[in-house]
Amino acid sequence: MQRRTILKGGAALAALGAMPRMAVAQENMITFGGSVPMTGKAAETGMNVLRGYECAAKFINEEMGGVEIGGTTYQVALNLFDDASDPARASSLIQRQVDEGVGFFLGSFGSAIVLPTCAITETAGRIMVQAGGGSDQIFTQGRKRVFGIFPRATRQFISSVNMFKELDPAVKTVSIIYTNDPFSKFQADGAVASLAEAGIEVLDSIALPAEVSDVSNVLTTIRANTPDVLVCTTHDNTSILIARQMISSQTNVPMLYQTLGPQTEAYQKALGKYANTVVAQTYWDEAANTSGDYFGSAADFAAYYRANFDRELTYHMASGAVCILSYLEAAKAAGTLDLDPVRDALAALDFKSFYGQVRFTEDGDGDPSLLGPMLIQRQEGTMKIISPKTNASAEPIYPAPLWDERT
Amino acid sequence: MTLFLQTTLNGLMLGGIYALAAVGFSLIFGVIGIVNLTHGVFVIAGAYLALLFYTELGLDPLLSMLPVGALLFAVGWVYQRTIIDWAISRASVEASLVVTFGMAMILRNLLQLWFGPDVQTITPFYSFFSISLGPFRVDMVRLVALGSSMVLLLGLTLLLARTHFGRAMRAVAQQPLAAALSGLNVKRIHAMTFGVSAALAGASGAIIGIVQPFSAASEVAWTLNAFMVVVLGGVGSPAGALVGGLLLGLINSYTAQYFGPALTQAAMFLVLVLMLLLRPTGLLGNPYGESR
Amino acid sequence: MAGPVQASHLAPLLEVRGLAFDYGGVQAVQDCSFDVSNGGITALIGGNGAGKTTSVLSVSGARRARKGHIRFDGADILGLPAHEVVERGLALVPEGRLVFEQLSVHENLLIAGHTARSRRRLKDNLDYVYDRFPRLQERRQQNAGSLSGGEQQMLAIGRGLMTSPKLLILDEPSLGLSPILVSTIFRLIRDLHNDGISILLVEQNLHQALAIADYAYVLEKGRVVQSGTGHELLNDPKVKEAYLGVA
Repeated sequence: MQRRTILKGGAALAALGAMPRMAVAQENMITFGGSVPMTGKAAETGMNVLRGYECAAKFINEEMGGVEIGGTTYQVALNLFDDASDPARASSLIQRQVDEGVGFFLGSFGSAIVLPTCAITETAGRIMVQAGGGSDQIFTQGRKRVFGIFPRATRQFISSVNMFKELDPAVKTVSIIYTNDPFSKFQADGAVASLAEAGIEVLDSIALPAEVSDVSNVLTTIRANTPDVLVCTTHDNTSILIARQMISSQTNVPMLYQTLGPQTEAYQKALGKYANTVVAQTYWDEAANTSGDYFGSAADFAAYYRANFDRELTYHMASGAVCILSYLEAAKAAGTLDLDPVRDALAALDFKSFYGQVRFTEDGDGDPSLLGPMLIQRQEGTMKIISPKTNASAEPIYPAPLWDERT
Repeated sequence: MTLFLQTTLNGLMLGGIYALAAVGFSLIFGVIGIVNLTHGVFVIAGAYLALLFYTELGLDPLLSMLPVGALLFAVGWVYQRTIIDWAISRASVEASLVVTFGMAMILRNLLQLWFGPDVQTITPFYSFFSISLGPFRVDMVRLVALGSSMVLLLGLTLLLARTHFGRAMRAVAQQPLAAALSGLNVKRIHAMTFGVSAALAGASGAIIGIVQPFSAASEVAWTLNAFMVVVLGGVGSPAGALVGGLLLGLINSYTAQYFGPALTQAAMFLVLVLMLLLRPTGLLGNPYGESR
Repeated sequence: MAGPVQASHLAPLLEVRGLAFDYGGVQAVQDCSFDVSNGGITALIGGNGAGKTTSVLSVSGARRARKGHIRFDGADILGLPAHEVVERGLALVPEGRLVFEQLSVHENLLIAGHTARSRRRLKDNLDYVYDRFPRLQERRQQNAGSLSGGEQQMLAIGRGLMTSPKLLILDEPSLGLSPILVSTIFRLIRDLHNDGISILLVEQNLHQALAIADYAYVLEKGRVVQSGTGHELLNDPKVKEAYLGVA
């Protein structure tokens, strides 16, 4: 008796697996699958991305009453699991969801997780739209059903080099410190290539392991060479460590530029007044003059988010939310939830949103001219946009005062 | 030459922290024969407690080492008396490896639930100072950390050498049966050993909190470091932990300076493997002999 | 020397009744009963695997007996952990000495001298042990592991004495020692007895053990098969045949 029930269940599961669309479209509900690091070393940003997904789903269900696709109104549901920042665990979670027939996937955070999981969804013919992996490998291996909000890592530095050229005096030398993982390394490689193209000399390019407890030695090298700009494509905690040790060892550079870290509250708390003048990237800012359907303007998104969620707002919430908007826009255009038409509509997508204009390249990553990073600098405690000039809310402070001359 | 000496200095500073963070692990391994994979959690729990004392009461981490140590002593005691003792008496000493591994995962996630996954730092006023000695430069926090480590390691050395409790720990480590027959309450000594070990881990956590950013996820690295320190220096003694810690710091520092920071972990594992092949008891050996 | 008759009408210091112990289902001791008289030397003899060591480990609390009664000094001590049995005044000098090799001779003695029972007499006990074993006094700062076999045996006995015992149980004190040292140890046992300490001697060295014992028990396969005064057993034909190698 019991045995037969199990057999029946198995048969039902097998049927589900054979017909992915059915599971997706159940009861006028669009369910997004995927995993997010809610624990483990990527959890801090992982939670940010997750809040972004949740914010979009909440807004669409509660404020808009769902979306109409092909004449039917759908609600949005999230079915996301904690991958604990572990690629192996994420892979088995995604494989299970693929087996259960999930068709639309949202991304985890970190290229190390996105890369293996998008390989699984691609092979199974499912779609992934993600805002957590910028590594080139995600986009350059011929995948047709993987889309990223961010431009690939090697293209993320073009806007930064433009700013370097505009600074007065112009930047002549740069040193780079990067974490030795796929994303940070590609970012650093991209920086080296973009800098070379612009004729800026790269003095050092130093790799750090994922777990660092001391960068004294690296800073000894930096002090010996003194670049105009020190670029760190490192993770949050490494960025804090580098900055702290720079301050205490009086390692001064005219500009400290850390792609990840300075945006966070933890960074500001750890460094206090010394966090001022540090430059970072952001893919979105609430002060940006972008707007579109759904939330309205960037400021409207920020207001809605703050009214409903506690976690400190960063650009990851915005880029997470825009993943879901992209799916819905594509499905609306396609007029169906079938996988192939939605995929084609995503590839052809071009719509204005609170996040800016969303368009993907042929390889699936964000168009660098539209979705490349803005540069922000902390000035007297708040982050100001300093580049591109069209969006800028403040002039860059350059060169930065010496550490021990700050008040 | 200046570069070499500065690198050496950096390595020694780092090594002092490694040594203190590892000595409790080493003690438990030496006295009870348990590889306590929960050790890194004790370290990070100490860092979080120091952070709480600092933000809530304004207590400097160097002072909060005392209450943090006391709290973790209690945690370590209870942990041994309950979970560890159950595991050993119902299964085996080897089973404790699995149990402590599982507990580490549970506790790591609990820490994450309580304190959130965000990276934390403790920033007392001297965080951004450094001291210059001629051409050499040393971070104040690192110097403070090294100093506190030395004081605590010396304290532990005296405890082990001069007090009845210290002698009892060494006796239990070597001959648990004879120790019991000499009137020692072996279970109590085991619990005390866990308590002392957790207290030292907590104190080192308070120091680590001022030296570098931490989150619940960093506990894995501290367990691993402790393991390497023990393999390098030898089990069970503060001197072994010191030698192992300083050596680990130097390996880290020299590799970072002369071969690139990305290779530090590879270099540490290379030395680890060499040590296991050539001198599996560590440089200073096991002061408790092979009598287990 | 106290005679057996005299010993038997006093209440025994240690009374073991129906003791049973098994190692994972293998019976090591079954239904073992014996007495140790107050102020005497009692011997427990038998071949390898007769259950002697298991019996005394059970008595000392280091092993938990499956069933039986153990009364010591008027109180039931079955089930007490070893360190509490020591506090009652029963010390076992274990087989193989088990000195703390990486501790100095002095530290070995200090540890045992620190029981609640003996702490106040620490200095007297140290003087007593160093007086009895001048060799240990000479080597007090040396690691116990560097001592010879005979010296380690002295240290193990000394360690037992540091707990101020009423009853000292010696498990195979002559094992692995040269004949001269064996005589020294037996002389020492007699001295300790003369100082007023009751002794339970576990031995395979029957001749000498029976020669100094007031009363002795023969163990075989975990049971007492025979008992009598040392003199009686020494002259018993069965004992002679089985253990003394005399046809």
